[in-house]
Amino acid sequence: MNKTILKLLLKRIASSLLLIFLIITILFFLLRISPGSPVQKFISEDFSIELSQKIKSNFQLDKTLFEQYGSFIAQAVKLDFGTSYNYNLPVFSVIKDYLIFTVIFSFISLIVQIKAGSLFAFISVYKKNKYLNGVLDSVAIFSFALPSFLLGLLLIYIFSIILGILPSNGLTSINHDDLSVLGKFWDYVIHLILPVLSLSLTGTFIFYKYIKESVSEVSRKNFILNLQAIGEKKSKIILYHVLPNSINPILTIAGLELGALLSGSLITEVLFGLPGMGRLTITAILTRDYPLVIGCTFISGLLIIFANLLADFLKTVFDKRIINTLNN
Amino acid sequence: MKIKNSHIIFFLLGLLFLLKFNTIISSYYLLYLFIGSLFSEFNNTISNIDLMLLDVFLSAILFIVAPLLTYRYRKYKLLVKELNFISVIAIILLTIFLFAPVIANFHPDFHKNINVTKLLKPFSSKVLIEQRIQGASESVFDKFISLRNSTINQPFYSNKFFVDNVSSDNKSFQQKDTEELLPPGSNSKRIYFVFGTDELGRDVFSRIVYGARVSLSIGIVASLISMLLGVFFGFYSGYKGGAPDFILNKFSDLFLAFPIIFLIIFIISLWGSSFFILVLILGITSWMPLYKLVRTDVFSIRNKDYYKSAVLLGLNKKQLLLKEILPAIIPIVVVNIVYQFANVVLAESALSYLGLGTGSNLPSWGKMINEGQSYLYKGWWLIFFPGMFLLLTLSFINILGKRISESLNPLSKND
Repeated sequence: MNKTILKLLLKRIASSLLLIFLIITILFFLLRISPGSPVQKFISEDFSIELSQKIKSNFQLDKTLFEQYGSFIAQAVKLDFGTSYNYNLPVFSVIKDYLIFTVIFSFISLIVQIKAGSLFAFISVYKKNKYLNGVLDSVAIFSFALPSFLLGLLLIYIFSIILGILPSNGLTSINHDDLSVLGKFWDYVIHLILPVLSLSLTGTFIFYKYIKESVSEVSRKNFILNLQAIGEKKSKIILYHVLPNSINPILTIAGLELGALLSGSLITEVLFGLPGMGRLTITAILTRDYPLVIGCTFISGLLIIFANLLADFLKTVFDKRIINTLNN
Repeated sequence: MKIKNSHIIFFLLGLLFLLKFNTIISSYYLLYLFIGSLFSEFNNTISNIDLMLLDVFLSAILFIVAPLLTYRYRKYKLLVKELNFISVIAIILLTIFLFAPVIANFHPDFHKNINVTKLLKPFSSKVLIEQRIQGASESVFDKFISLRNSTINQPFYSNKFFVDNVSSDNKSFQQKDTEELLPPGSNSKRIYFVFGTDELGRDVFSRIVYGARVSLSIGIVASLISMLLGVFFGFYSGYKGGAPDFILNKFSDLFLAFPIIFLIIFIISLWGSSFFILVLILGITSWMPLYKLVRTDVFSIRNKDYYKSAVLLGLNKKQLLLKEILPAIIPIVVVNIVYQFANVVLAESALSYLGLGTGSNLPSWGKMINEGQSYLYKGWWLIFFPGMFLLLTLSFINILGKRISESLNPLSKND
């Protein structure tokens, strides 16, 4: 049993790594054949030709494309993506700070989404209030149509401009360093309320939709009706019988959502000025910081794969039959 | 009596006719003069044709054709249906899309004396003064040119300007507590900025109306491209199988594994952005979900009995594809293209919001929101109205997709 899991895991990881390798290769060539060069930023017209050549060779951009690719691959195998042009630091030490924020932010948002989504879904399935369900369903449809930047701007307008109770930009206040430990924590919290809200709304109602569908499908099944007839406690039925049987599609969605969140929630980060992976990637792309673009893509790819693997692993924990279907 | 869809079309067109009587009549007169001057000075007239002119002609012709067609097909199923949220939004959007030059008061980029019209609240009004240009000769061509300049919304007028108020005897105007005499032979018109004006004094309503065209046409063209690619590749790989199928499948996996917005931004930032590049990129990067659906469907159809019997009957490849497979996958394609349209409009607005939109000065809704963002403290209407239109359009498309998939798949109705 464990052997098959291990085999499947290795197979998945191998094919995913191949995928990442392909993407990085495509990115590498796209970056090199695109017009414009990162060296232009560092070269002035007043420089002598030798000096500009030297700068170019410092960036290793004077070699032919395939030589560059060869040395790039040789380094990439050692997980060394070179030095960021903008920050003049190794790529991973640039990414590190942004990554920590993104991971924390993503997990907060995911937890909010699942919690709120399942709450709404269970209310809708078990309370059977016609008007409440109607309201929830129409809010769900509007939330799928609501672009996150619009929601973010609305929240900023209400809470920052009219009411003036929550900050609209950044992760810390100006006087952050003078605060006590508790004060610092509180500072982070109030800065994250609006971003988490605007990032989570759509996801919440995606979870609401899927949880509602699968829970209501399972709770119509005969064995649940049987349990109800026996007189089993309602909470026990939900926790031990309905949830394990309906959790599969939810976990798939959670995996996809976590992957998307971890690769950076671009719009929210730009809108609220947060130091996340999405904004780092975009800045790197716009300033032609080749090593940083590839480093960010690599990390995002790894995180997406990690998220999907986590979801699949949890699925096998809840439903042992899946291993057999995967094996075939 | 039930209010039907055809009634709302007549109502909207009638309302438009009442509100914009001058514009509509003068566009017909313009058409008449255009045809007249085609006979007198052919070359000069041809060189004066541009998109805006054709646009005005087209909407003028449609203004006659649309009611006639609606009347002719009033018993048609779609038009007989009772009014609901979807159809109202659809009809309003379609009207805005087709009659933009008639509905909009100004060219989207028109701004003159900014200090008068800057950041006006919704429903505020100013007086537009138009000076007569004297000395035009009376040939048909000259008449055509002068009428063309006054009828078509243009980004710049040398003879028009805004003032705060005009005295009741039409002799003088007030401008910031000073009173000056009106230039002789000028006429004044009170203009209402229904949705306010932006930081450059441009009318938000006109920008939204023209922006609808940009946003919607990007959505339509890009989702058509993605549909064609998806159906074609899905057909090809489902029908052929083997190596091409494997390669295409892995390729689409590669695209589906990563958030597509980064790839789009990557390409746009490297190769610049224009309307066509944006449409192409949005279309090319979004066919993979449809490809997967079509591919699995074609695979499953190939194992069905009716398909096998069609093969045994000796139908050729073209007949098999067009008569046996295509009708079976149409429902999926229709539902997918509707959702795809919503996705593309959303992606376009997100890109425009990030400042990577069409690149030109075309006002799309996302771009308007991006520009209005810096004036959030001073003018909420700069974001509220384009945002409202975006939200209504997207929710309309989502509801439409849901309805279509429900009507195609009766099983999903029961919950």
